[in-house]
Amino acid sequence: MKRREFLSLAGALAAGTMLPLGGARGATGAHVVILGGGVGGATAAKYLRLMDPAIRVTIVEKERRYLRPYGSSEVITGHVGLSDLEIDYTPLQSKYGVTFVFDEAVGFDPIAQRLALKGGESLSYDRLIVSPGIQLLYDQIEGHSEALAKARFPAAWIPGSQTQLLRNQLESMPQGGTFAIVAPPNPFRCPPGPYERGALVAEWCQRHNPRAKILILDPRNSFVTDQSMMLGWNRLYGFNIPLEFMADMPDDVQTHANPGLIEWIRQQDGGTLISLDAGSKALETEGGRVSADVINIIPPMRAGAIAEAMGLTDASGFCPIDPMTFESRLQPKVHVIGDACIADQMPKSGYAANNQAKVTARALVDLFAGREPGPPSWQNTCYALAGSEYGLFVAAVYRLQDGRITAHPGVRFQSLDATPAQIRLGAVYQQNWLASFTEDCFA
Amino acid sequence: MSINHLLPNRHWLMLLALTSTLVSSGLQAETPIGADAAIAAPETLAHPCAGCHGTNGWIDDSAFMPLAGMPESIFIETMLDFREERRASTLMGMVAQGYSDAEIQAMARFFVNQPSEGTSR
Amino acid sequence: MKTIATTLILLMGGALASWSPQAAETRAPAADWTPAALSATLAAMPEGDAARGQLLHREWMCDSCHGAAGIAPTANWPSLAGQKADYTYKILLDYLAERRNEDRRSELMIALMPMLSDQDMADLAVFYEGLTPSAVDPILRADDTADLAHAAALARKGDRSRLITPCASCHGRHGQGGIHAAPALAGQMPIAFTRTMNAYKSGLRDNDVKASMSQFARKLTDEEIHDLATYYARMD
Repeated sequence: MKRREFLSLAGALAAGTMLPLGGARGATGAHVVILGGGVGGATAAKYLRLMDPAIRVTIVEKERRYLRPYGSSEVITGHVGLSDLEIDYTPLQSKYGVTFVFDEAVGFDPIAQRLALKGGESLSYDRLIVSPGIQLLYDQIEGHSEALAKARFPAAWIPGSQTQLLRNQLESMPQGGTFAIVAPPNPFRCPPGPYERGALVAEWCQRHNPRAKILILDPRNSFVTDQSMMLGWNRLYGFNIPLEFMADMPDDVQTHANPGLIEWIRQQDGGTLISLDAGSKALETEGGRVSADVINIIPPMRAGAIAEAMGLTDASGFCPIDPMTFESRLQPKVHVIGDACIADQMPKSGYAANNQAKVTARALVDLFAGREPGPPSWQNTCYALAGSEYGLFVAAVYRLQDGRITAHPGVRFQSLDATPAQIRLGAVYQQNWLASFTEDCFA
Repeated sequence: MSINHLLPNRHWLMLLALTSTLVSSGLQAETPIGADAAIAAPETLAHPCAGCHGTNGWIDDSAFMPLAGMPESIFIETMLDFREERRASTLMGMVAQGYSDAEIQAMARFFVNQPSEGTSR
Repeated sequence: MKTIATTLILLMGGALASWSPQAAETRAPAADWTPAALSATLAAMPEGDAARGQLLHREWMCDSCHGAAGIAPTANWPSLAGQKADYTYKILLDYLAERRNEDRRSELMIALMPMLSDQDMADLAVFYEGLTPSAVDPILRADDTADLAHAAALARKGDRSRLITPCASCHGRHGQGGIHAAPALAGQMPIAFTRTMNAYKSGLRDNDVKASMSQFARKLTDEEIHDLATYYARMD
C-alpha cells in the first residue's frame, strides 16, 4: 500500500466505530497497541503486562499461525519440519491477558492516536508499538520477482512456503549439483544466517549428495563470525580459508588439495549479484555467469511495508528512533522495535528485538507513570552452527553512549582456540536456546 | 590448536583455592564503560539474561541454569569467575565481560528475589 | 609441564576426528542394566589415572559446572568430590548409551561422551573419588524447613511399614556410597539431589538396575525428599 492511500484512511476514522477494547484510557490504565506478533511485538506485550498489569495491551497481527524465523534454516535440511516453527499465541492471551486482534491496519491517525483495521474496526491507543520485521525487496534484483521466489528461487528468509520449497529443491537436487546462496547486502536480518545456512546445507550434502557444491555469493569481503565459521567449514567440509583470515588460526587448519563442499565468493572475487536469468537458471555476477541447480536468493531488505506506509522510515528504508525509548523520530507516540528500527550497533536479530522490546516496555511504564525512563541495557547473544554438532556464537552487551547504542568493547566471537568441548556444547546450547528464547518471547 | 591454551590456565591454582563464599577481592576489577555513568535499574540489567535463563531467571527443563532465587554472593562470584576467565564457558565469559561490578551486584539483587517455583534455592 | 602438554595434544588429537558429523549417527537404544551386565562392565573398567583425570576434567569443561575441586559452584549442578569411581564410570557409560536422558540438562553430558574413551571415563572417575567432599554451603541449603530427624530415621532405619529399606544400607551410614555402584550422597547439592529423586519417582530416570532406586523414590513424599536432600547436603 502506498503511504498516501494509507494515511487517507485516517479521515474516515472520525466517524468510524470504536472497538470497546480500543476505548479511551480509563481507570484500568493506559492502552498500548502493538502492530506485529513476532519476537519484538510478543515480547513487548508480555513484558508490559508483567511490569504493569494495569496496562491494557492489544496485538494486531495478520496471521493466526506465526512461524519463528530463528532456526528456520534447520527446516531446509530436515532437522525439523515447518510445523515445528509454529508459535502458539495462547499463553500470551491466557497467562498474560494480552488481547489479539487478527487483522491488518489500513489507516493511521497519529494525532488522534488511532488505527483503522481492514475488518472495519478502529483502535485508539495511548502508545503504539510497531514491530513489523522486514520486507524482502525481490524487485531490486534484475530478473527477479516475488512470484519467481515463490515458484522457483526461494529466499526462505521469512519462514513459510518458500522454506518448504527450498527444502524440496535440496532433496531433489541431482547428485553433484550446485546449490547457490546469494547473501544480501547490509543491513539485513540475522547477519550470520546465510553462512550458517551454507554450513547446514553442506552437512546435509555430505551425507546425501557428497559431490555437491554450495556456492555462497557475497556482496561483502567479510561477515560476522567469519573466522570462527570458516574454521568450522575447514574442519568439517574441507573449505580452504582465504589467507586474509588465517591470522590466529589453530594449527589443525588444513589446506585441502580438492576443493571442499563450500565455496565462498567474496565481493572482491566477483560475488556481487547483478541479475537473475530465470530462464536458464543462472546468476550474472560481477565475477561472471554462475549456473546452479538450486538458487536461494536472499534479497535486499528494509523495514516491513507497514512502517513505510505509516511514515516511520527514512531514506535508508528503516526507522530512526530515540534509543532511550525506541520512540520514532518521525511520528509521535509511536515506537518501532526489532529489525525495522535503526538500532545503531545492535544487529538485526531476534535477541536484539527481544531486548529492545523490554527496554521499550520499561520506558512506556515509566512514561505512563510520569517518570523519566532510566538508563537502558541490552544484550545480543546468537548461537550459530557450522554443523549440527559444531556451535559458535556472537555475544555482546550494549549501552547508551553519547546517544548511540554502543557495544561494550572487546571480543564478541568464539575464540579460534575453542576446545572440542566448547564447540560441541555450543551446539547443545544453540538447540536449548531455541526453546528458552521462544519461551521468553511467547510463553 | 596452539600450545598456549593446552597449558593449565594461570587461574587454575587460584580457582582450586576458591571457597564458595563471596570473593570480595574479585570485586576490585573495574571495567571502563558503565563505571562512571549512572547504571541501569536491576530489572533492566537482568531482563536481557532471560533469552537463555528464562523470564525473571526462571527456567525449568533446560541446559541453561535458572538464576531465580540464586543467592547474591553465588551470583556475583559466578559472574566474576566468568568475567575474569577463572571459569570456562561457551559465551558467558564474553557476556560477563560487558558488565561492571556495580551492574553485576544489581543483577544479583534482582535475581535473588525472584521466585524459583519449587526448587529449594 | 611438557608431559602435560604432550598428553593433552594426544587427547585433543583424538577429539579432532570427532568433529566429523558422522560420529553422531543415532545409536540403537541401550538395553537396561542387569546385575550381571553391570558387574561385568565394572570388572572390565580400566585402571584409572587420577592425574590424567584432572587434566580431562579441565579440558572437557567438567570443571565449569562441577567445580575445579569437584564442588559445584552453583546449586544447579551435582558435586562430584568423593563420588565413587564405579558410580561415575557407570553414569558416564549411561550417558554414552543415552540410558540417562531424563531432561535437557542430560544433553550436555550426552553430547560430550562420544568424544571420551573408556580409559578417559575411568581416569575422570578415579580423580573425583580422590577429591574431598564437603558439606554444602549453608546458603544453598534449607535447614530450617527440613525435618532432619525424620530424614535421619529414613536414612538409618528405613520404614518397614512402606517396605523402604534404609538409604544407608546401599549409600553408607555416612553417605559415602557402597557396593554395586551405589553413589555417595554426602555433600550433594540439594537441588541436584531433589531433581534426581523426582526423576526416579516420575520414571523419567530409569538407568538404575532392576528399579533399585526408583522403587523407593516412588514411595517418598515431596517433603521426605526435601528432608533427605538437606540431610545429605549437611554431611561431609
